[in-house]
Amino acid sequence: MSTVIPAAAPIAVEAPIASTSSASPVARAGRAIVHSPAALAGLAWLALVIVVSVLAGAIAPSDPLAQHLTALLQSPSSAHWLGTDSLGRDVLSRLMHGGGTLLWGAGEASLIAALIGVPAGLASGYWGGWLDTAVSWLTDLTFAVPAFVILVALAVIYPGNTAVLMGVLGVLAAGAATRLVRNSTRTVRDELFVDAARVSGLPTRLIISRHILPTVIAPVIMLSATNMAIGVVVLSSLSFLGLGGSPETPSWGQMIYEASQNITGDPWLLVPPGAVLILTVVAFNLIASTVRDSLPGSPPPTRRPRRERAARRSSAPPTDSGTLLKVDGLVVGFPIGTTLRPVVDGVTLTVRRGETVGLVGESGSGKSVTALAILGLLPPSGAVLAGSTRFDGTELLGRTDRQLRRIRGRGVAYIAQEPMSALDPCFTIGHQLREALHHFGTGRRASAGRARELLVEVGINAPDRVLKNYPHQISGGMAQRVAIALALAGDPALLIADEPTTALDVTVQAAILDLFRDLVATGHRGLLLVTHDLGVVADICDRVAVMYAGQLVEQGVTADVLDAPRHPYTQALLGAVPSLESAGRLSVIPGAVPLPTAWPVGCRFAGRCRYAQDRCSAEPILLADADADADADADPARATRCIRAGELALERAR
Amino acid sequence: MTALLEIDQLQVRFGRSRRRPAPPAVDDVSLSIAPGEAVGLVGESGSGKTTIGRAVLGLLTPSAGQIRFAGTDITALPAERRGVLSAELQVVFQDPFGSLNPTRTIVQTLTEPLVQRRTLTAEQARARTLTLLDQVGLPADAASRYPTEFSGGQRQRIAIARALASNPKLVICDEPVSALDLSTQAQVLNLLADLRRDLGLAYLFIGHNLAVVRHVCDRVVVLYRGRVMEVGSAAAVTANPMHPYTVALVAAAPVADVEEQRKRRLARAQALVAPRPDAGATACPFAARCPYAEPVCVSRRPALSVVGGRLVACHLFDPDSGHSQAAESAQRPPVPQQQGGRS
Amino acid sequence: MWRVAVRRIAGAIPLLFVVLSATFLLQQLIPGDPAGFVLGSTSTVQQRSQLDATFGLHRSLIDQYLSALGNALRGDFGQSWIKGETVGHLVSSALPVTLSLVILSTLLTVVVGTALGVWGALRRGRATDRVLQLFAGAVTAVPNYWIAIGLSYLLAVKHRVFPATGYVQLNQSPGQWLHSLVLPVLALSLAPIGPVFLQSRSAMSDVLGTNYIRTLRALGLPRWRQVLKHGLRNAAAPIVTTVGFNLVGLLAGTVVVEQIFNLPGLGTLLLSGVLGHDVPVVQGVVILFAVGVIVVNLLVDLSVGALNPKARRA
Repeated sequence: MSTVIPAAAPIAVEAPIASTSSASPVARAGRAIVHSPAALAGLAWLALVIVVSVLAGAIAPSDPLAQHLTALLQSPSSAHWLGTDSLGRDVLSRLMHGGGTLLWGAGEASLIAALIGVPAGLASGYWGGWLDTAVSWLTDLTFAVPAFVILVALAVIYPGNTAVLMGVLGVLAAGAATRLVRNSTRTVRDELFVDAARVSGLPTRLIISRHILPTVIAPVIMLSATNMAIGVVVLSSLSFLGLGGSPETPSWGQMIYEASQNITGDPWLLVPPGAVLILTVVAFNLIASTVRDSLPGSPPPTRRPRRERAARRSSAPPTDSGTLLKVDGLVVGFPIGTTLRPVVDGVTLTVRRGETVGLVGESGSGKSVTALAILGLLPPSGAVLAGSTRFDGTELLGRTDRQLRRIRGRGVAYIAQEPMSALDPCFTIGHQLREALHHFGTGRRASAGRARELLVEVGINAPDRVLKNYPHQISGGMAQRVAIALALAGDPALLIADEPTTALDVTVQAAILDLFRDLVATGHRGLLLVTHDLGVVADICDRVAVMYAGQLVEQGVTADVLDAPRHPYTQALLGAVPSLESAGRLSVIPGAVPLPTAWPVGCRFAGRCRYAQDRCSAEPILLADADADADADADPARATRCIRAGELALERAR
Repeated sequence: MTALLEIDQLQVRFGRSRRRPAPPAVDDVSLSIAPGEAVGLVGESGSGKTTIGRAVLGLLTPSAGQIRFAGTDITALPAERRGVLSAELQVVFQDPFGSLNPTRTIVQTLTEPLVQRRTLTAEQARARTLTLLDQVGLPADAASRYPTEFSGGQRQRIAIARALASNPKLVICDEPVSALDLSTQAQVLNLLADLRRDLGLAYLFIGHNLAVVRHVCDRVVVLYRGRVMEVGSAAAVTANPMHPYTVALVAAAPVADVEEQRKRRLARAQALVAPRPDAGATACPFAARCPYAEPVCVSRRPALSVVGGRLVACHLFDPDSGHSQAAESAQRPPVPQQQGGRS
Repeated sequence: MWRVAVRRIAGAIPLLFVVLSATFLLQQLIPGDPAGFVLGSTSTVQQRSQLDATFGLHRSLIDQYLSALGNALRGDFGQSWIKGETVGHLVSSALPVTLSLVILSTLLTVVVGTALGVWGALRRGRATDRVLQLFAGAVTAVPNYWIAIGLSYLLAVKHRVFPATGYVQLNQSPGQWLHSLVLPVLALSLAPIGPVFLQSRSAMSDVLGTNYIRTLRALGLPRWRQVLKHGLRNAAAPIVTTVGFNLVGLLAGTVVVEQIFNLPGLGTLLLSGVLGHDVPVVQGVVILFAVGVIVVNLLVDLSVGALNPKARRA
């Protein structure tokens, strides 16, 4: 299936990659509740309580106030299912009548809090400025007020007036609601799609109602559920103290008080009201936590696949002393759906002392995962499924953290992509360096001096000032130098750098690359550099390996690969790089990278390759020596995964 | 022919004025864009390029200066109050994941401004959506889907479609391809070039990658720390940079060719010096890193000199500046005297 | 950072002022005649006018307000209408009781909640984590007065392990002081474990997934150091904030728990003031609680700033 690409082709039409339904936060919350048995149970309980409270007059076995003086403090029996209290009143009936006022009062407080909080939070979050300051001050005021204490104090003036008390509670709770809505609003307001809506001329009220409100409502629902729980507890506490509700209406809190007065005579009395109260609060909390988990920003539950030991390749040839790293057939999987799928599919590469090897690919090629897997730094959901990774002869895969500790930092060091987030924000740079040095065996006193030396080694001009700084006080380029210094603390022989300059300015990038070159040369180290930038590869990599859809498709000496690529993907990639010299049309690779769930049997690039033939898709293609026709040995110097490499004269478009 | 966009001595300053006001993010920037022209704003972080874009779009208010669009002064006019004008001035943002509301379908996002402004009925707007999707190379059934179902490159196309919906004259492209893979980036850049040709759009293209900007733009403005360093045709500036900062930028931009990179290594080692600690608030913002810096660079702000079709803000090219090497620099900056240390 | 602290303290003063004024207004909310309110409907006119005269209740509103404010600033909160002692004296003898209760409860909640939270974060997604979450969800819902009664019955009445009522002062006997506080502290500290657990689990989980923890892992630093030193330090800010909110809720709990265990603290004082319509006492306790809350919020803000250098700039 070969595709001919004419010069001015229309842009290829692409199909969407995934299929999900509406991402509206409220809809997601709703769906989360429906899918959660616990939340559904909670809803069911609450529905039961509401129905029972409304129908209590009709369905209760007896009048809650009726006293059966001959049957005091009785245990549960057929006449009274939950027994009787000290005045002979039927406990079950009192229980049925006792929930209504609680839910009603809690609902009032919760509603008032939301009705005040949402508009106040939206306004202060969206417009900021003095309005925000004023609202913030008022919010602080509500936080400064001990709510329950105020209610108790007010109860003296408005005895038994639940409506007023719960109203005051609602106003006081509005502070938290306002703050929640305000923070949520501010986050959404800074989103680019809000900017886009503003630029398209949408009036402010529509921006707020259409773009901000939907996202803000879901946390409010969560807060309201929590407020209901709090309201129930507060109101029951008040009635326990005799301060809320009237003696004529039974309430659960009051029942608990009565139980406490008769605890020695009939301890059972404590159980029914406590049980229903706890169940109701649990129900509200379950709903709240289900909604909270459905909100964006909550991390997904980590799925832990069964860990398999990495299959050892017993026939792997011994490594010579100059080889620092030997990766053989590495396969790494991640859970996609319920199964583990390989994301890195049989990578083999070598890094020797004094050499820099580039691992190049686009997103989804598996290059970063390869780097992490070598040092065992995969996230918990990832697992190495097969292969071998040997550092200086020692196998690294299948080892525990404790075993790897000897290698990490001392033999092999890892440098991450985002330098700012790779440093602990709570400690000074000097502290972190000294901690690392101390861990690697440098004494306390010597650590301070060595830390300074390390900073100088990575090219920082004012080391004393930087040692005292916190990570957020230095620039991105400086932070990356610090991260490199940290990596050097254990004097490792091999450095693994994962897109170390992607987040940096181009002038800073150039300097960092020079630094890497220096470190490799003077320290006689090895460097595995993961990157997507072919220019970076051209700058400091001696050899390069190109990854596509989890596999290596080409490798060799950098100059050879870049000047005369032997794989159509490499050629296409080179054609897509905009050059400073010309402004001609960039060559485009039609289609998209196949996902791990859809990797074809044959060549994974065939669907997008202009030279593809039927035999390319027939069966899996092996990485083969590009210089000879024979099959590859363990690690050929120049290799390609294209069976047509010999026939095609892949010219690099200049 | 009136310029489509004119920016006149724009200044943007952030932070409330306390004892120490922050240095302006954008300082005395002037540029103009003619109808159908693509002008690039190039700079690294802190150059103020994104801030300029936001000021033009009305997402922030400048502290000083003027912005005129098709002759109308829009300096103090925030985006929400631009009314009809907003149809002609649109934007494509950098982040494909944040620039589309995840809770609204594609057709809702694309038709929103059109229906809101009552330019089209709902039916017409829907039909227009399908046309737009076709123009950017997306299937028609994308209209009823949500942004989460699309890849980064596809979302950027949707963002471009949204920008085109109201038939704008000028599109601000704020780093539209920086977050995309190389192959996707090529697709989007080609799309932008095609659309410009077919629809006669003008672009203000903001980017940090010189090669990318050169691909799309006719002219380029080089910014550093909020100020204009050099202005000229994209081809000329990248082939023959004059301002020492532009020289450094060009030298630092990595090229996928081993030999070429080796040559550049020497050039870029000389292009920047280690930041001088005593630089402080100097007149020329680049003086702290410049291999040609002299006392005049610290004491007097360089004017924008006209040098053969280019504008360069450097004392080297100003014969009246008093810089010792000013006279020699007619066509290109001289070889730096000192072998600059590593930056 | 000190500038931030001073600014926060300065911001707290107007809050204090508002609270003071508001509690004064409390008195004005009383319907009808204050003296009659206190003494009840059976009092005679003579008794009421005597009370009026003693406490100056017949003066104008502004007059009373200003003198109350002036007194408050000098630390004089008036005299109990019923008990014959100054509010200041009543409050200062009740304060140590409530303080002991609140501080011990908070300590227990924080230690248990954080430890469980860290454990849950480390075992995230596995069986242990689910059990912990269920446990936290269950204990949060238990009302403190209910569990207080239950504990009291089981461990003080049925099996006389702990005293059912009463409080022993710290300087009299530390052992007995602790002994008398075990049950009330348990009752108070149980429910708040839930939120503290959830917050520390969530914060710890986030921190453990960060790039800087991965850097430490890549350096070969032992796990305990990653978690306890770096992890906790970074997770501390939201945990401390939650503990601060929790402390405010604890004040509510002391009112009921002191009742049940008959501890002579501020909660009991407040209740007796409310039930006896002794407004100055109620005012005094409310003001003290409000000051306490403001102080706690201030300490939380300062701690967050101390713990997380990035927050200091705000």
